[in-house]
Amino acid sequence: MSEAVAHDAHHHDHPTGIKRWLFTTNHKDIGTLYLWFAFIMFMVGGTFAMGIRAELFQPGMQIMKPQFFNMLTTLHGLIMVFGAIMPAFVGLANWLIPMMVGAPDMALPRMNNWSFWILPFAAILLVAPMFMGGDFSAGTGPNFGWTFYAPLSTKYPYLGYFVFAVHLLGISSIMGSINIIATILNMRAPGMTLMKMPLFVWTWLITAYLLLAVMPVLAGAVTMLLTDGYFGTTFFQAPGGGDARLFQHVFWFFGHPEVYIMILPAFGIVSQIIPTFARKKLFGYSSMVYATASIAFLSFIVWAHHMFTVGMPMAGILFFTYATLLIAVPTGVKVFNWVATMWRGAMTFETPMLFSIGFVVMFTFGGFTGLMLSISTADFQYHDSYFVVAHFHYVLVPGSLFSIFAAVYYWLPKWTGNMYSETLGKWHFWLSTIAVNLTFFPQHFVGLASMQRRVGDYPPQYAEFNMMSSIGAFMFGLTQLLFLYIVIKTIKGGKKATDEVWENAEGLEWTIPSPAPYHTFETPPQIK
Amino acid sequence: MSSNIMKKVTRGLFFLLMISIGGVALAAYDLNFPPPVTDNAKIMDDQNMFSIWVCVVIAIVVYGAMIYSIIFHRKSKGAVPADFHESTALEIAWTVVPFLILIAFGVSATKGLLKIYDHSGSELEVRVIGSQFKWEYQYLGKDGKVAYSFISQIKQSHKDASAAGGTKYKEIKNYLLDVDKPLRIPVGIKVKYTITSNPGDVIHSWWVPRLGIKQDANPGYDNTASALIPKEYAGQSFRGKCAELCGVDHAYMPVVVKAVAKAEFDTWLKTASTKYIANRKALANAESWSDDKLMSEGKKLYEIHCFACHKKDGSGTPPTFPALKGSAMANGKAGAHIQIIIKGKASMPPFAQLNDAEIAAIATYERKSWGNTGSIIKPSEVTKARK
Repeated sequence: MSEAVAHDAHHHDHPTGIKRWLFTTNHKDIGTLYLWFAFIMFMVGGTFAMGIRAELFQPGMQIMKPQFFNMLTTLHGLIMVFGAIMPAFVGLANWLIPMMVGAPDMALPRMNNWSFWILPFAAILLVAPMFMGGDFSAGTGPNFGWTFYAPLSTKYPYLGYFVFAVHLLGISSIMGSINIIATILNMRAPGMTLMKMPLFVWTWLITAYLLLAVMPVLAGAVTMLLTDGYFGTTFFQAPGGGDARLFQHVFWFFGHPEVYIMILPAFGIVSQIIPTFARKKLFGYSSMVYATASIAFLSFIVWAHHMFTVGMPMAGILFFTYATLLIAVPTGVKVFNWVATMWRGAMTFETPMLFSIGFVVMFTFGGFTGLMLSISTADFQYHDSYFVVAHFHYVLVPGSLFSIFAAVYYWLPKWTGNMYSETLGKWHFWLSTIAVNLTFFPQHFVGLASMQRRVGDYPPQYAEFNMMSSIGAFMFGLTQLLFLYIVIKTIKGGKKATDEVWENAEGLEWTIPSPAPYHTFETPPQIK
Repeated sequence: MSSNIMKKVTRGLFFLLMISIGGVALAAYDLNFPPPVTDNAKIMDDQNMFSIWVCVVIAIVVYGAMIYSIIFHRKSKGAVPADFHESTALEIAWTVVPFLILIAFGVSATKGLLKIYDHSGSELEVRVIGSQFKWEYQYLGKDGKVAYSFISQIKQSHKDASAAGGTKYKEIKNYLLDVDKPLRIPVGIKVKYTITSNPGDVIHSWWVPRLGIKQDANPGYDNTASALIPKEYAGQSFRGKCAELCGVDHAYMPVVVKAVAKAEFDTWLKTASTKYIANRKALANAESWSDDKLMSEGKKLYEIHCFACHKKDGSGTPPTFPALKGSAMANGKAGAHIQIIIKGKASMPPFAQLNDAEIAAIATYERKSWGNTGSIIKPSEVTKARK
C-alpha cells in the first residue's frame, strides 16, 4: 500500500489548504464536501423549520407576518430536498461507490468537482431574494410553496433567481448521475457482475437513471415559468389560453420520481447495514434488485396522485389510483425482505443498526399512510391537509434522513479510522426517534381533523397537537447538534477502527485499511 | 452497566410518549374526520376507516415479526444466525397477498368514485369563484343566468386578531372560520357546485370537509362537485377553508355553508335576486351618476374587493401590496390606473371580471380618498380602456 501511495505522490499534484478542496478531483474529498454541504444546508433548512414550528406553537400570528411564514415553508422544503437529502446521498455515493465496486475513483473526476461546486452558488441564488426588497420581515424570498405552482409562482417578483437556482441544481444533479452511471457500468473490478454488486450500488444506479430522466423535465417546467414571468408566454396563464394544471402535470412528472430519488439510496443503505448486524446474508438479494427497478418504473406512471382534487376525468383518477396502489407491492417486498433478514439472525444493536431498524419501522409507517393517500376517494379529504405533511415527513425524516445517519455511523470508522462513541450515538438515535414521533405523529390527527397545510395561523381546536409538534421539533433540532459533536469528535480521535470495522461485514470497502487511504484500488481487486 | 441504565431511561421515555399519546386520544380532541353530512362525505369517511383498519392488521403482522426477532434473535441471548437467504415461495406469497388486498382497495375506491362523480339530478347550480382572498358565490337561475351573486370573506375582526397575536384569538368565536356572509344552501335537494377561479387569479381550493367536497378552483377552468344535505341538518353551518396555497392570506379564506330549509331558501333567494337584478340594471345608468354616487358605490365595492390587501385606510401591505394613499397611481393619469385594475400587476390579480361601472366607481373612490387628488373616472373611460 505504501508503495501505491508513493507512486501516486510522484504523479499527482496534491495541494493542501483551500486549494485542495477547490480543485480536488478525488472522490473521497468530493464526497466529504457533499456531506458537509448537506449538513450545513440541513442546519439552514432546520432553522427555517424551527421558525415554522415557533410560529405554529400557538394560534395567532405571534412572531412573523403571513408572507414570512410562507417563505419559511417554501425554503424549508426546497433546501431540505435539494440542499440536504439529495447532496447527502450524492456524497455517500462519491465516497462509497468506487470503494464498493473496486474502482480507483469516479469515472469523470473533473466533472465530479464541477457538479459539487455548482451547488453553493445555487443555494445562494435560492436564498438571496430573502435579503432583497429592503424589509426582511416581509418575506421576499421564494414564498409560493416548494412545489412552486403556477400562476402563484409566476407572479413572484424575484422569479428569475429561483429559476436559475433550480437550473443550476439540475445541472449538478445531471452531471452527478452521469458520473455515477459511468462509474458503475465501466469501472467495476473484474469479476464483479451486476448481480454481485452491493445493493447500495444497485439502488444508486437506478436512482441515477431516474435523475437523468426527470431533471430535464424540471428544467423544462422552470423554463416555462421563466418565459411566462418575463417574456409574455402563457403556458400556465388562463387569460392567454394556458392552463395552470399543465404546470402541475409537468412538475409532478418530475416530482414523483424525485420522491424515489430521495428514498431508493436509503433502501440501499439499510440493505447493507441490516445483514451486517443480523450476521446473516440479505434475504432475497435478487428480489430486492427487481423490486427497486419496479418502483423506479412505477414512479413514472403515478404522478397525478398528487393531483386528485385538481380536476381530472374519472378515468384519469382511477388509473392513477390503481397505478399508485401497485407501488405497495414492490415496497412491501422490500420491507418483508428486511424483516426476513433479521429473522433468526444474531442481532446486535449498534447505532447504525438502530437507525436502520428505526428506518424500517417508521418508513413502513409512512408507507401505510401513503397507501391510504393513494385511494382517491379518501384523498379528497387528505389532500393538502396536515395528514399529507405527516406522511411525507415520516418517509423523509425517519426514512431518508435516518438512513443517512445510519450510513454515517456505519462508514465513519472507515472514513476517519476512528470509532465514534457508541453511547452518544445511541443517545442521538433515541432522542431523534422520540422527537421525530412527537413532531409528526400528532400531525396525522390535525390533518384528519381538517387542518390545511401551509398556514401560519389556525383555529384553536388544533392548538394542543400543534404545541406538541413544536416541542418535538425543537427537541429534534437540538438533538442534531449532538450529531455534529459526535462526528467532529470522531474525526479528531477515538478508539482506532480495525480494517474490517464490523464483525464479518461484507463488501470491498472493509478490505482496505481504516482510515481509507487517499487512493484506493489502483490495482483492481479480483472478485470471486 | 451504563448501557443498562440507558436502556431503562430510553424505555421510560418511550413509555411516557405512549402514555401521552394515549392520554390525548382519551381527551376527546378531534382525531379523525369530522362527522360526515352528505353521502359523499360518508363514502370518504368509510374509505378512511377501511384503510386504517387494513393498515392496522398489516402493521401487527410486520411489526410483530420484527419485534419477535428483535427480542429473541439477538446475539446477547446466544442466538446463532441461520443461513437461509432466499425463498421463492415466500417471495411469491408476499407479492400475491398484498396484491389481493390492493384489489379490495381498488374495488372500494372505484365504487366510491362512481358515486362521487355522479352529479345527475342536481336541482340547483352554484358557481364558486375563488380570488385572492375571498369567495364569490353565484346562484344560477333556471335560465342559466346569474340570479344572485355575492362575495364572502373572512370577518375583519378575525384577521385583526390574527395579526395582533397574543391571546386575542381566544376572544373570538369560530376563530378564522367565520365569514361576513355565509353561503346559503337548501337542504333536501342535490346542489351542483361549479368551482373555478378568476382567469388572472391563482389556484384556490374549495374545501368543506363535512360536505365531502374538496375541489381546486383553477383560473379560467371549471371543476364540478355535488352534495345533498339531508333535511335534518337545516339550520346548521358547515365550515371549510381554502386548501391550496394562494398567497399571503391563504389562511384567511374560510368557507361557511349554511343549510336552510328549502321553502325558506326559495323565499330568500327570490328577494335577494330581485334586488340584485335591479342593482345590475342601475349600473347601466352609471354614466350619469353624480360624483357622490360614484364615491359611495366605490366605497362599497372597495370594501369588498380591495381592502383585504390595500386596507380600509389605503395604507396597503407593502411591499407586496403598496399603499394607495398618496400613491403616484391614484394621483396620476386615469388611463394607467384603470389598466392596473383591469390587468393586475405583480402580485395583484386582474379585476377584469368587474364591469365598467364598478371599476369606474372603485377607481374614483381610490383617487378621491385619503387625501388623494386624482381625477373622477366615468364608466365610459373604462369601456374605452378595455379596447
